[in-house]
Amino acid sequence: MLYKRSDQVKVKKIGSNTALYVSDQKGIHVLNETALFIWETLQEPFTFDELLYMLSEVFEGDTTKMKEDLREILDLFLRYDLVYTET
Amino acid sequence: MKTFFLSFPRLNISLTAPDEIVDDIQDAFLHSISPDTNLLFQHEYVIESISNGLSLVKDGQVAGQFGSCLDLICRLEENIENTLIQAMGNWVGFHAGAVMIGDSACVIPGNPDTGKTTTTFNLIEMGQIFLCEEITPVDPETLLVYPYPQVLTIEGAYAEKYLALYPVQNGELKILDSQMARYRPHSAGSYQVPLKTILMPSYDSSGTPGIEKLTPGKVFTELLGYCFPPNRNDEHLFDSLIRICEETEIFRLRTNSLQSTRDLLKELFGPNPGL
Repeated sequence: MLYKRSDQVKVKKIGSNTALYVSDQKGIHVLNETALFIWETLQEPFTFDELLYMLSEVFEGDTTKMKEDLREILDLFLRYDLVYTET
Repeated sequence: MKTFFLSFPRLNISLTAPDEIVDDIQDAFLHSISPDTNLLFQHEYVIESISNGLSLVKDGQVAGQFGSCLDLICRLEENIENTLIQAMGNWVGFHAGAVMIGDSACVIPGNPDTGKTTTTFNLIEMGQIFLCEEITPVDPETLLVYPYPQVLTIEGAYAEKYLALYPVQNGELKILDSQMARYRPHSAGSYQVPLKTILMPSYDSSGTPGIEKLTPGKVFTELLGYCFPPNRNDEHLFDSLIRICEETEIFRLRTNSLQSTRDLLKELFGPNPGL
């Protein structure tokens, strides 16, 4: 299953941070460092495992925790229509 | 009966009140009463005496009946606030107080019971010029803050504690009961002022007092929660707030007592030579 960016998302810069916004959703999401990395990586579609591999190449830390964080971020991206999946 | 013309940012109203409450109305809206009796107004409020109290009529429709003048004034203030929020158009309305420090504005946003109003009150009593209470209208294009100087409602117990420590010299403080006190500053700014500082009070009796400088990204979502719903679309509000965040200095004021609030405000803005 591939994760793909929605083309409805607008990217806003807030100082040195990045926020994502979808017009028909009530809300704007300021990204933390990990979420920003995942969002930028998703310029091309990737699977969960591919994203996890890239995350582990860039960030240090416990893989289990990293996996949980990635799952949480992708779930949030999906919930707010920032990304969608394609099989 | 007497008719007042009240002038607010982007909103003028006429308010007619029976003679017996004219003084109360004058006290409550002192800084918004316009001397211009030919003011074009968008809404007409009429207060009428009825057998069991007072009735408030807005644009010909009954907006409520009240047993006391204070209840009516509180509801009237709320009604004007809601009307003002709608009249602000593309401006950002913060749930905030504001004062003028030097030649720029400091906005103090927050949810109820976070110390927003008491911080505004302390700043006025420390010599700063009162601008806004409850609603602070900001034009995101020019970053100007428009005055909305209404009476401050603070907790009665807080007012009693304050009076035990300091004199009240820049306004009139009336303690109604342990729940409620009303503070009317003697003077208020009457012109728009450029926004420079946003101060976010945070009270925790067991916490350590201090000042924390906040980055736009860190504070954006929280500040968004202090904005009234936009009249235009959400994206306009987001863009406006991003500009406001990027162009201002934003601080969190962590306090644990009245004294610590005063000390931190002095640290941040310097002692006022007028005191």
